[in-house]
Amino acid sequence: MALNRLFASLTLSAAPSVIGRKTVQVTAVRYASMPKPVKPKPGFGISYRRTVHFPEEYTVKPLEVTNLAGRDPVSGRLVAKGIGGGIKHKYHWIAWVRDGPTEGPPQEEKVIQVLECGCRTAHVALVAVGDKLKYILATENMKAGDIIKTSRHLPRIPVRANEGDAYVLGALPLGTIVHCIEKEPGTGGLYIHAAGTYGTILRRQNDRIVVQMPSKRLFSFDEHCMAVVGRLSNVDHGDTPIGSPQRNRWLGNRPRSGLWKRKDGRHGRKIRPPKPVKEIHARKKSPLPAIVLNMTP
Amino acid sequence: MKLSKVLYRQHIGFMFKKHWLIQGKRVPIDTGLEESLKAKGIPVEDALEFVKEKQEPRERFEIIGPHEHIKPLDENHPDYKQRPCLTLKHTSVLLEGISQAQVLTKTIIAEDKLPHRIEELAEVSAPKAIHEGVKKAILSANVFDCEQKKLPKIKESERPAFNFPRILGISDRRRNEILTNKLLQLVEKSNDVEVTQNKYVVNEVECHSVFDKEGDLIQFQDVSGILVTSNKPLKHELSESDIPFIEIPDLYPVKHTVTLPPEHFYDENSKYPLRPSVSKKHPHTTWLHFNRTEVGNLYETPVTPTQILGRSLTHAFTVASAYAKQLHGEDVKDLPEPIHINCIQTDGQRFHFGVFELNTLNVDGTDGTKNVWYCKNDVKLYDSSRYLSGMPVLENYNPNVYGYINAFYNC
Repeated sequence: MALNRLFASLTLSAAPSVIGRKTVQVTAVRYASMPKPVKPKPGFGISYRRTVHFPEEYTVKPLEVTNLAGRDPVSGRLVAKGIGGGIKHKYHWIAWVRDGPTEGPPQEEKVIQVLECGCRTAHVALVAVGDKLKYILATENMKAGDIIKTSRHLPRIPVRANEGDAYVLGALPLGTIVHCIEKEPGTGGLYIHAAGTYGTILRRQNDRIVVQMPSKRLFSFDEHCMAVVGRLSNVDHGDTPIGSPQRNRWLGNRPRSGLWKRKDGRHGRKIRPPKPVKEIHARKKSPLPAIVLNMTP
Repeated sequence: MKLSKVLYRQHIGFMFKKHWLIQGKRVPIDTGLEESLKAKGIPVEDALEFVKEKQEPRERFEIIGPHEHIKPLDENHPDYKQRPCLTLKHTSVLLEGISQAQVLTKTIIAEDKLPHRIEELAEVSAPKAIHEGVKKAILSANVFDCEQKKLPKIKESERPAFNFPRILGISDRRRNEILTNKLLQLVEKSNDVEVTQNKYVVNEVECHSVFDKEGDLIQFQDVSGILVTSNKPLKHELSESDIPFIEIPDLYPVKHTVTLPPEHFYDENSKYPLRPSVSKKHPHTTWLHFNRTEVGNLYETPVTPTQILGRSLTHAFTVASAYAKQLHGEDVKDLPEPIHINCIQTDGQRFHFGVFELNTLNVDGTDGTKNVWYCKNDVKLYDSSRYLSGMPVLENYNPNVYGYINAFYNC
């Protein structure tokens, strides 16, 4: 059958034409055993909502965005249902790494303005230090003209931190409200970004700090990981209902359908024993890349 | 029909068809061999890379085609300069506005106070015909002009997704140009020949001023909407005894060079638009236009009033220092005589008047001789000028503004 398709494009002619042996082999292989393009499964930390066009250097200029509408950029196929449309917002490139001096007094930064970002639920603050401007996630009571401090120094006595300051987890007293916690020291804040959320520092175990996440799960971090003190801005976001189906469309969510039973299956309430404290470690070895065995010569 | 029996049936052929796809991707087990060999210093190379034929480096020919290639603007360009120059352009504003401009130009500010002579001349009331002329000028700039350009989109925060009908009208650049030119023309008409013959009126001229502050090379590039020059330098008698000056502020933790992007392609000489051989080259008044569609922040938020006022201070400094450098040379620091310049900034409705006294070009630190900026800010010319139910309307005209403009021309 594949040979039929191969020879369908050829015509008979009086003069003998030379078809290279390799060309025939290649074309036959392609028709006979073409694998279907692989479509990824939704989830695993990847969002199929938008692609931001990042320039090479960090800039404060709002960046252009292309909406993906749930499609995988590689295969072009629909991966996540229910995403599409909505108002297109420019992306404010947030500087996730809050770096400070390892010794001496903390670095002071000034908040210029607090703006709303259409690409996240929390508000974003424009901050100036020296001759650099950058964006950070704004905390609850942050306003223009505030001075915030950053330091990577780990002192013997815990620091009395104010809202918006960034210190290492080991420097903060127990019971402090934090957000934007780093996974590994120096890589930038990864945990707790949503509006109104916060984590609580519960206890210290040797050189690890146990923090309670907004989902009430306990994570254990290295004490040199940076965290920002305070609760994230836009606290009423979780309490405001969306209000109308049209507003949901403006947010970029397409209409959902499907039979939903409140107490069944994945929608029902689950009572389980609490999971043990998860230790967050730096990844020492990354897995080797997969060897793809295919039939193309 | 019960679906479960059908669904639980398995056809082994399906698994055979798909199994090769899964078995085709194998993740090798990391035995740690590569790392231990590398630790001992034994080179490890991928077998497939070793087998590939290495390409010999071939000679590159520089083919001269029909056009010369445009050289990319990076370090290898012949005009690239190692030392970056922080540039303030006509379309950009300073972050902290007037405070940052004070620090950059080492200026003290006399808020809401203009020199006595200007205040006296401004109090002289003009005849009614002139005020009628001003009203006609405002209407012709805002309402009667026939330009039709797409104006910026209207957005409402409560209905963010709604697209309002696009409005066509007069662009703000053209509106400001017409208004300022007509006002100046009125002033010239109502003055004597001796005054007007000594002055040149030049439109759309660029001034560049390059100076050094605490190790950073800073450049101001500005465009005057209208530059009025005269045949003798402008002189103001200023009594500095009882004026409460606003001192140079401390911008900690922000440095004074924020929002001045560094550029590696620049000209180290300052530029003044008129040649030294011209008799009427001494700058008298400069009019600065604030066009909201052209002037903006890098982070795309609206320009604040302090930023607008800072812009007029830097503009006056640019023109004054470019002229001073043409007179006394590039490296002059303290001037033998102060240079005065009048500056009017407008966005069509609000007028900001100022008189700049340039005493020194040595702007390092906060000690020593300082420059002075006398200003009168935010004087509204009218409340609104538009079509209201078909009729052209001008609301709340303020006659004081013409008084100040006339005073600025005559002093």
